[in-house]
Amino acid sequence: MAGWIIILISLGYLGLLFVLAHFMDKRARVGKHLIKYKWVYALGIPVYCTAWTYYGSVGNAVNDGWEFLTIYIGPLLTMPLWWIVMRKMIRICEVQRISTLPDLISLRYGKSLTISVLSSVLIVLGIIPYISIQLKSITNSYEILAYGAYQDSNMANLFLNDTAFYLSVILALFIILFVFRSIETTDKHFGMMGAIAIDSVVKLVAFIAVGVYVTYVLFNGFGDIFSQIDKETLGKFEHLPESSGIEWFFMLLLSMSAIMLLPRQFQVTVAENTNENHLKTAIWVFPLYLLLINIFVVPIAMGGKLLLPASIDPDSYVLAIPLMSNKEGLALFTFIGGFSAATGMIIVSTISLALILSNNVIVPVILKSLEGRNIYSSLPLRSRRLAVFGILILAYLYYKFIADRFPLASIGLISFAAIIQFAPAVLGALFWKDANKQGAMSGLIIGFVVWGYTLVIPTVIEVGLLPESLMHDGPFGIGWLRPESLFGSSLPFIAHGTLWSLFFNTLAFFAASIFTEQSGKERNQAELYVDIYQYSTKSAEKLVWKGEMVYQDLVKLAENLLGKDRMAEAIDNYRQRYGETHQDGVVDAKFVNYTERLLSGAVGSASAHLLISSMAKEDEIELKDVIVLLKETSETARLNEELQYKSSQLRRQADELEEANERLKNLDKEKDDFISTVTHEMRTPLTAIKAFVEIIQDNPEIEEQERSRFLGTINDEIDRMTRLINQVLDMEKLESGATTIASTTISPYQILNDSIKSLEHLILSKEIKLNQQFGDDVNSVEITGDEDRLKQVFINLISNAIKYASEEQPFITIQCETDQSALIISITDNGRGIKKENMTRIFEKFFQARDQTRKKPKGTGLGLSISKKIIELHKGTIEVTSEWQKGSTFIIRLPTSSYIQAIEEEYEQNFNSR
Amino acid sequence: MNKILIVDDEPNILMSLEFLMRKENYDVFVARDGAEALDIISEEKPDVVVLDIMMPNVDGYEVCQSIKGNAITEHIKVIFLSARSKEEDIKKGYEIGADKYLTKPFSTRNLMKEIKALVN
Repeated sequence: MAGWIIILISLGYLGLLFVLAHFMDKRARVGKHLIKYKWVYALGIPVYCTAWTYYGSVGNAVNDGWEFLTIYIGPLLTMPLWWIVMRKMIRICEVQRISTLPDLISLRYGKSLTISVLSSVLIVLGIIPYISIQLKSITNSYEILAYGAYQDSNMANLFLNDTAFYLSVILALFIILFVFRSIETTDKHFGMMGAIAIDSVVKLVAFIAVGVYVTYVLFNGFGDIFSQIDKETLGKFEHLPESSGIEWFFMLLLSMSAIMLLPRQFQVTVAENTNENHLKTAIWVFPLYLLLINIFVVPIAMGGKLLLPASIDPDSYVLAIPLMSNKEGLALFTFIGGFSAATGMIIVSTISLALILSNNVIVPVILKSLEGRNIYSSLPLRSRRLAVFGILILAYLYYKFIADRFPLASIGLISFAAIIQFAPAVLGALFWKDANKQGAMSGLIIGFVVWGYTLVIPTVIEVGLLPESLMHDGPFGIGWLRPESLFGSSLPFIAHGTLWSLFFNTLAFFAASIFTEQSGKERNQAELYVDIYQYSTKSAEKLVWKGEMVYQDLVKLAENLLGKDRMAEAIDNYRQRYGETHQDGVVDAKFVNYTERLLSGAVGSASAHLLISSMAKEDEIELKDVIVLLKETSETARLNEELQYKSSQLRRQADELEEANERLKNLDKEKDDFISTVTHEMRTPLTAIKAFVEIIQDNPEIEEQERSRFLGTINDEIDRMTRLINQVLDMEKLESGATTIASTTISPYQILNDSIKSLEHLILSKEIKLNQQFGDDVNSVEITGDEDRLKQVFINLISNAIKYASEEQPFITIQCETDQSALIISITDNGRGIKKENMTRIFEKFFQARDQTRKKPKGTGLGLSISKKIIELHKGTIEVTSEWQKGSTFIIRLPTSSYIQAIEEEYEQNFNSR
Repeated sequence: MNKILIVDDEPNILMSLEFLMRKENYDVFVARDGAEALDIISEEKPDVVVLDIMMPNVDGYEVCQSIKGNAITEHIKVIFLSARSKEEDIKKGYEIGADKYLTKPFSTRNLMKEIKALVN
């Protein structure tokens, strides 16, 4: 096939991909995702399946049987952990505005720039070989398609005459033009995710197409292939070689860490996540994807072995089979599938590495050296673009000089082994509060040194850049230091390197963490990370930043980086969402956080944090400081935990105190109001009494009958005053706690009955129809309380019902029932009812729904509030339901003694078990 | 015969005042709230209104304002009888046009004297 056609179609595919991505990005920014983002997100994760999967799996299957499956089984094994580990990472990154793995590590370990730079450099070193093999696979597949075989890698072809070089440049330009086009105020890249999701679909369909072609067109199904294949190849699938146990174990371990920690996986799974619940979709979509893409690996491997000459590299079977049968269209589609697998990986990896280098190395280092002088706004963008070129050129050179001599899989595994070095530091960050910076640093450094020595040096020796004697005799002739068999161990290459690097890494991480002290700052972050769910739901915003900053300074800083227009737009957004900004003075934490988030999009969280904190003195969270101080003197973790608990108690008590103070203040005002209301209420009966006394004094001539009527009225008004005084005193006693209610075992049902009896004559005299509905088992219900007080409540409520019942056909219903936990008593009248607006106020002191009492004798206005108080002292509740003009129902719930006891016991248990 | 309207939501106070006024041969009307009072005022045009302040629906202040704000009724004398004894309450009463403000409990003798003075 002509080279230019292939190139044109590839470019066309890339172009189409980016146009689609650009379109999706635009839609997503205004919140109108073209398809639900959870699907895009779930299909982004298969960026895990690279050209290595696409071409290399078949090669691996031909050479080593089932071993190719290990790098898929590993991720599958981690799936149950995703909801625990990945969700925690996502939550931490969301709360702390983290968008890269070095951010995650450095923020946890003392916000240290050293560890941020160190881990960034190590990640880039570890991943460059991996990118290089993708370049290699694209180049190889192109050459197979164009020339029928790869050309010998020729140093004379370096740069200008080399497909791989042009490919690197084109990809770099695409990334710069489409992703790093401008500085954005968000760290989400919807366009990139869209492109990756499309890639995922294309590579899956293409691979399955080849698989179906081989299995069902060239052969008659799986059985046919298996029956034709030679014994030797079949043998590889019938039983595993004996040494494979160790090999498999390490492969699984490597791929388990890779799916969670590889920069591109971190990018798509953690940094690009917009909603934790999307993980739920990914958790089933991704395994399904892995299953589908692996179904045809073995048939293609066997088919290739059967149909193709032995001289053809198994890594190229996928492409060679359609070519051999002259299916050019299928071959081209297959090529595009592999191309999308490789470019997808290169794009996401390069973007994530460029973000890492720019956010965690270039910008912060320049910022530090600027020492507070103004940062120029093009810096973040330039450093990202520079990083993109740097990474792709390095990958190209690695490919040219080293990777071209090795099979795809082995280079990929060396990268996996690099990434697993981050596992102790990251898992420690998430789950172990005592892990510290020294531990993380020493683990990473030692791990990477051993990784380089056991896994990278041998490849360098093999291509002839180092003397071979090192391999056979060890450095300076020290035999037990030979790179491929440290301490005389003999293990497969990858297993050997992984074992020793991870062993020393973990050892150093734990030893240094245990034997050195954690700083106060670290302790804070440790708390925040490990207990993230506790903090993020409550006061994450406050915890992340406390301090003072002037509005103008902050806005100027942000304008510098984002540009005036974009910042103005962002401030508008802020106002719409949260309300005013404090233009002239000190801004609040919410605005600082908002701005820091904007800056994080532009320069990454490490630099954003550096910028913000350079402008203001940040206060540490004081409570935590106290703990740290005590920890340093006392040493024991146990005490530390106890202290934490106690201090949280202290905080609670402080809160309570403040509340109490507030209550007291209110109480004072309430008391004033109360006194003025009481005196007012007393003037009314006094007025009537005085008036009648004067009438009788001034009119000796009035008739005896009238005189005694007036005296009767005086008497009524005096009674009314007495009642008022008594109830005011009663209320006071109940409220101040001067009287405690008796706590004897009583039967409320009995008391209710007594109360009804004592009012019987009144009910009869008013010809009120009384309807009593009592449940069967209410007689046995007992509560702890005060008989006289409860009687007071019942009589008050029943008297009210009598008073307010309809005049024409008065009717009262008293119900009593139990639901095991409480006794429920309800008293209903058929009077005028209570208007909706008065329903909540009816229990207030001196609140009388005045329009109800027109022709009724007035009460004191305290009866219901006293009743409510008494019921509350019995841990019960009282409420009212009413329909205007239809009547009212008062419902009392009195919890039984056994229920209260059970609740208290449960509370105590919870309390003690903390 | 001078017409007097007594407005109060306390039946016993109404009863005592009604007795006193009739004895002095006034033509007495009673109302139990502000709304009722306003009806009687527009119908009967009493000479004096004895007015409580805290009442349901329309309160005494509003009744007084309506009397004094209307050319047809503004000549009607208003005496407030109120349990509100704070200085600002009294001041407010006079500001909106009351002719007299007595705090409860008041002397009936004093009240009758005030009414007599107002109607002459």
